[in-house]
Amino acid sequence: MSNQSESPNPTSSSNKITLKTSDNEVFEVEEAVAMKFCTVKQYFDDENNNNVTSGTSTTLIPLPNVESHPLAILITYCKKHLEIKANNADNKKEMEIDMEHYEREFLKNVMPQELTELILAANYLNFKEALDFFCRAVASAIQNKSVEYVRKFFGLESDFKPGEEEKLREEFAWSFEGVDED
Amino acid sequence: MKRQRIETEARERRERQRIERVERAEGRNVSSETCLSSVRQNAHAQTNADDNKDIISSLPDSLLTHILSFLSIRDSVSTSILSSRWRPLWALVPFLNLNQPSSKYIFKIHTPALEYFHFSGYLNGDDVLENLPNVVESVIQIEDCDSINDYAKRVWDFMGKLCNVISMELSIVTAQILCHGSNHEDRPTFHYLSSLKFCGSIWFEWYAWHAVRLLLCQAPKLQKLNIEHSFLLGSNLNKPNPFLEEPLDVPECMSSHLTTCLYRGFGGYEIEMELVRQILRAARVLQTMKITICSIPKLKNRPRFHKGLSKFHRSSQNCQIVFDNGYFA
Repeated sequence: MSNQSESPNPTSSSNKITLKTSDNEVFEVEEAVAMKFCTVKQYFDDENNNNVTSGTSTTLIPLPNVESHPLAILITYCKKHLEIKANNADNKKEMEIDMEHYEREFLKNVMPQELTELILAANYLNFKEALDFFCRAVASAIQNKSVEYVRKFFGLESDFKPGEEEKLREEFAWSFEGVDED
Repeated sequence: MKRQRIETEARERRERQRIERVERAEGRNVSSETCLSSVRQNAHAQTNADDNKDIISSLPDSLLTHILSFLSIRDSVSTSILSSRWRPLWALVPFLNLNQPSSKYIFKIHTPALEYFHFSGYLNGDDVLENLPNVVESVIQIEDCDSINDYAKRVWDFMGKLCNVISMELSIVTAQILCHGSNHEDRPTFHYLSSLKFCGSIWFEWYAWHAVRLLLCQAPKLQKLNIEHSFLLGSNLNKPNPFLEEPLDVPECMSSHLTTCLYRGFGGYEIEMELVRQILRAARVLQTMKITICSIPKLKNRPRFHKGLSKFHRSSQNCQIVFDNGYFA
């Protein structure tokens, strides 16, 4: 709690880092935001180690596996995440409440088909909080739902041989008890 | 060189993932309920426009199992019927949270990939648990049962499958059940166990501390002992405890490995003081004894027991006693 002064409000830090996506869009983000992406942090640290003299932050970091659309969403999420953390530096409970509220609102603007690319991008960037958040989002969307509902939600088709599915359903009958109405 | 570095990185990454999974496991129950009814709604909006578009299959298995790890075991198992690709996935989730509230189902667990195992509930005579050699972290909360002696043996056998566990949490009730089978011949030894936590009311039954000590004897390399005492009405806090009076035959870990001991929910009672005194006397390499004080209003005379505790003889010269007042039981 006492070392608050050592970690200044992340949104006010001035150093910028430039990220370039696979579709050649360039994003300039604050260092605090970029450092939440562990893949970027790793790259950044390596660069700094190899080239001690380059104190200025002119680095352009290529992200060949991330498109601009999910990256923009992840940056927004990350900024807000840091902001909420900074605003509630000494009250964990408050922070969780704010975060939960924000995440609920956030998801209202996310389409299910976007979640997949967000998960892939968060995974590639090694941005743990976002990865868990989006995976949890998918999990709770199918929680307590029938197989038919989940297939439709994901857009999956059964590829079992005739009889195979019935056998599995029998074996795992206990897992289908009491699911929600579709 | 480069290759070596990559290997080290891969190892570090695995270790990080392991730690993250533990953290997630801890946070799991809190937040999964709250979000996402909205994604379902979006799904309805979407289905008309864009029917039957596969939105999930581009994810690799590792991410699909990551998603499954946020589901209950029941929901996770039911995904095995989605398609042949999904069929084996649930068994690859390294985390299993099994709640067995009644004897209605018999379980058979054969999942060698499992790393985190959380079991709560009743243990049937016909339940089968295969060896779980990769489980590093486990939470066991066994429910009580009337015919205690046979049951205790069953619970010991069950625990024996977790042969390589590193970090374990037990309910006090589980420890008490195990205590009833203390003459069981094949009591497992947990050679890798380094962190052991007990949760529950340690002063409700006379012999609970005895049960804790019995388990300490099975963990020769234990470094961290964590007691999270929750106050139960009717706890025998004000009476002397016969099990505390018997001479302390020191468990191996106490004299050679135990460096940290935490007691959460300290109320300042005589028997709690005695317990701390015995631990301080027995633990020869202890570095930290942390006491988190339960803020029930009774504790007006705090400075007195702070002082009392500080005066106790410590076998380890490097041992510090740390107090924390911020605990509301």
